[in-house]
Amino acid sequence: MGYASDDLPDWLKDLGSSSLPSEPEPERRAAARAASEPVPDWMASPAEPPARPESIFGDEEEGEGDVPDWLAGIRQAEGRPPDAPPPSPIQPPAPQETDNGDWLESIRKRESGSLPASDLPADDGDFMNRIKAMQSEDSAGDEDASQDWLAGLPTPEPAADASIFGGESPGQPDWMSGIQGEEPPPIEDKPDWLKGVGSGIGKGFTGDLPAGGPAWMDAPDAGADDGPLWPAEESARASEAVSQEFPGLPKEPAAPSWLGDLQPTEPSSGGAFTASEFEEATSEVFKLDSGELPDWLAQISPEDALPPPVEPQPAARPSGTPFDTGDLAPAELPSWLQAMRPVGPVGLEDLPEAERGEEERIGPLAGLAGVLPAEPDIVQFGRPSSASVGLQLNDVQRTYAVQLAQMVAAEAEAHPPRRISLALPQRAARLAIAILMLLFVAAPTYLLGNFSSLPQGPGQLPPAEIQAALDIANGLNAGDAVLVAVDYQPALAGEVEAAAMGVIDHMIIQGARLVMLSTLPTGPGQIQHFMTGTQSLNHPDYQLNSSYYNLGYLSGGSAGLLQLANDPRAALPVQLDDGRDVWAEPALAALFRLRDFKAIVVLTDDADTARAWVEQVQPALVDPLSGATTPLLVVSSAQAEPLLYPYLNNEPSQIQGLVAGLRGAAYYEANIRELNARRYWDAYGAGLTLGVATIAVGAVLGLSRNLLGGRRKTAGGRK
Amino acid sequence: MNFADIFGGFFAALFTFLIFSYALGDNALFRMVVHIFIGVAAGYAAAVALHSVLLPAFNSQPLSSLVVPLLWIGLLFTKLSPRTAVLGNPASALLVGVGAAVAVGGAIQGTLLPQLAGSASYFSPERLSAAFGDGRFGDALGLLFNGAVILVGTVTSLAYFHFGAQSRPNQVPQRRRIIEIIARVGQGFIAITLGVLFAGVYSAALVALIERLDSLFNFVGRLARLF
Repeated sequence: MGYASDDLPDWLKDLGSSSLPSEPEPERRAAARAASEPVPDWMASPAEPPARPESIFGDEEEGEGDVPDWLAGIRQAEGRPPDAPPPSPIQPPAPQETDNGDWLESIRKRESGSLPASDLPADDGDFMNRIKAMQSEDSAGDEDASQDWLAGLPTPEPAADASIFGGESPGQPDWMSGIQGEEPPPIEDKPDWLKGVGSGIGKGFTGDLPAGGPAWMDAPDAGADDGPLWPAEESARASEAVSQEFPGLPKEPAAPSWLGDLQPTEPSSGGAFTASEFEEATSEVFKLDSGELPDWLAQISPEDALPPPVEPQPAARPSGTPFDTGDLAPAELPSWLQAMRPVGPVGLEDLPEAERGEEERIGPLAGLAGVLPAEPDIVQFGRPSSASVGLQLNDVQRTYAVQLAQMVAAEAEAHPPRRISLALPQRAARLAIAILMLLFVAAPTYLLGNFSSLPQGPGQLPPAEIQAALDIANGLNAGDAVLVAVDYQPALAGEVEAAAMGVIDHMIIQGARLVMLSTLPTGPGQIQHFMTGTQSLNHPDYQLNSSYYNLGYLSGGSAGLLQLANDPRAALPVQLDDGRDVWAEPALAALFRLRDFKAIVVLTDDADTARAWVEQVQPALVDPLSGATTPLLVVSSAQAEPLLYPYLNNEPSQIQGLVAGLRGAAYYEANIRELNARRYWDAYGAGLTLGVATIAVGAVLGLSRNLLGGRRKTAGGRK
Repeated sequence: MNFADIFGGFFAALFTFLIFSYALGDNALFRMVVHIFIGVAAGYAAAVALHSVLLPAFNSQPLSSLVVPLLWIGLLFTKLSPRTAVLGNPASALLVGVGAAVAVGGAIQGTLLPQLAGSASYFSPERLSAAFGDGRFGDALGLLFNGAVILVGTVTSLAYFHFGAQSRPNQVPQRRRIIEIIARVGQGFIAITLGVLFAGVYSAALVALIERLDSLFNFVGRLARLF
């Protein structure tokens, strides 16, 4: 709130301009406010100490010129010299009736100058040393009254309470000094035991301490270090009252650290704003001429402006201030005050077992008793939830992340098998071809009869490979052993068996003993099916284990063939059903090597199988001494025929005879007797014709479509 | 014709028709029969391996000589579990190594070298001089022609699989012109070979079809004779 200069009355304008021309505005306002209002009791202690250093007798150095006229008049009225300092409005606290009560008298004498400095005790300035010396004496007497709970209290500095001596801690801020210098408000209803405590501790007390202090100051350190602040009975009673009234109230902890920090650390003689100084400051502010004063202000005498002298009030004993318990009668505390009394720290070992609580067994607090128990609602058992760290993504990165996630998810999805859908014309064409094939194959065999001749007419020679096969079979004698390998899959058994039927029939006719094996796991079954289903029909006497032998499965593939070429008995250790060794049979007793067989016949549908026989077995068929070669005859499927011709036509040939497919069988049967090849030959011819016609028709249709499509494209391009 | 023949013939005819149903398109019956065939073949192969390989070996050889083979067999069984599959690697390595060595050796000695010698024999001076000396000019020309066809077919077919190309700036890498021409010739030889192979496959399949139809008619005829 601001006021214009015109709004002020004249007397106030002059006041502001003439009285304090050089003071700063805030200080001037504070001074004016202090002068206009009656100074309360708490203001008797200076809230804002002057900046200049001063002693506890701070006004004794002021000159004559600094004393205002009205104050000089007041001093004259009191009979004091004008330069004498005014009496402090705050009287020093009444000394206790102690044995050393004459120290205050020495102060008075010193103040009045009647007592020379030389008469003062030599250790006047070092009275704290004397206090400490007395502490050791008193501590022995008070040792019995000391209690353990005081051991935990912070140790105060010896007689360093600034509130007592108006001192100021060097490191304290200004507001702290104000707190320390503030006089506590009077307590009207305080108990009796408090009345005697701290009565001499006035904030405005600026006197010097005598050599022998009052009894309550005899042992300042003793009370802080060893002696109890309260009697043990009082403490116990207070604790009991607290626990009764407030069952849930926790034990009062020890004094906090900040409270200990408020206590001054060393005594100081300056810094306290005494009442005399305050009076001096206010007198300077109101140094006005009487003619300028208003009427109401002129009626006020200087005595009225001064605050009434403050009666010394026993202040509350500061924390850590010792007192002589022997001079204080124990008083009964009211219940509310007993509840507020400090309770010293109590060790866990002093508590009953029930209050100590259970000892912690696990965790970092293991071994400690009285630990707050863990509550199930608070304690989380199990793994804590992992903190998620979110990535900061921009829009582009988020888009890429979404696309990547979609790609990964699409890869993980199981796609159903794609169903091949054919167009209706194509499906119809396939069905029509199938029906035609069945008709063309079935009709000639069972409806039309043998309407076609075999490829070899009468008087014609068969192909060289067929002739070589015929020569091999014709060279067999009765009892000659022939090794027959049945190495074809069941799917092509119809073709291979039809091709081999004439050859095997020829060899049986020649009286050869067939020793059959297979390099395929399904071979033994094929051997049995072939011999019982075909040859037994034509040769009922040609039976197993008497006429022919089934050695079963030769394992190992090419390695098995190589072992067979080197040692047939070791490669096929076969026993008959009666336990006899098959190699001990009369027909096989003379067979120790593959060259001992009269011929090797391989029935196969695969060119690779035939090649394996050629590569692994055929070299073992050549006698190194004579150069004679055991013939290797291959009866194969038509699909393997083109790949076997290089071995057949090689010079020297690696295959001595080849009967491939139904055509080869037809040639072979034409020279022996008609068997299945004859039955199949008409159907085979019809099927080949249908196949060629179908291929030809398809080629024509495809060519026509391409030509028409090309013309349409050409026409479209011209348009 | 006993019951087993009738029972076997009936299922053989049924499965044959179900296989023929593939002409109408892929269907569940066709797949069921195929699965049956695969399962029966696998089971039969296992039984044959036990009966024809393992048991004869145990019966014919002393147990002491079977320790090492049984150890290898045990190591191969560890391949059943991915955790212990590494233990079966030595046995697998032995099988693969021995098989490869046998196959390569057999291929070199049984196919490569003999075929090289046979192809070169068409140009053998001894054979040609013998043919010309005997006045068999036709045979001699035939040898030369066959040898030339084999030589050209072999070289051009190998050139077809030569994929080396020369890179040119701003153009697609292409084979050299001469290589391209030779490859075209080799492509013709390959096409003829594949055609022949297809004819053989068709012929084999046709005969298999004829055999199946013949077995069906035989079964029906035998059944008709029973009733």
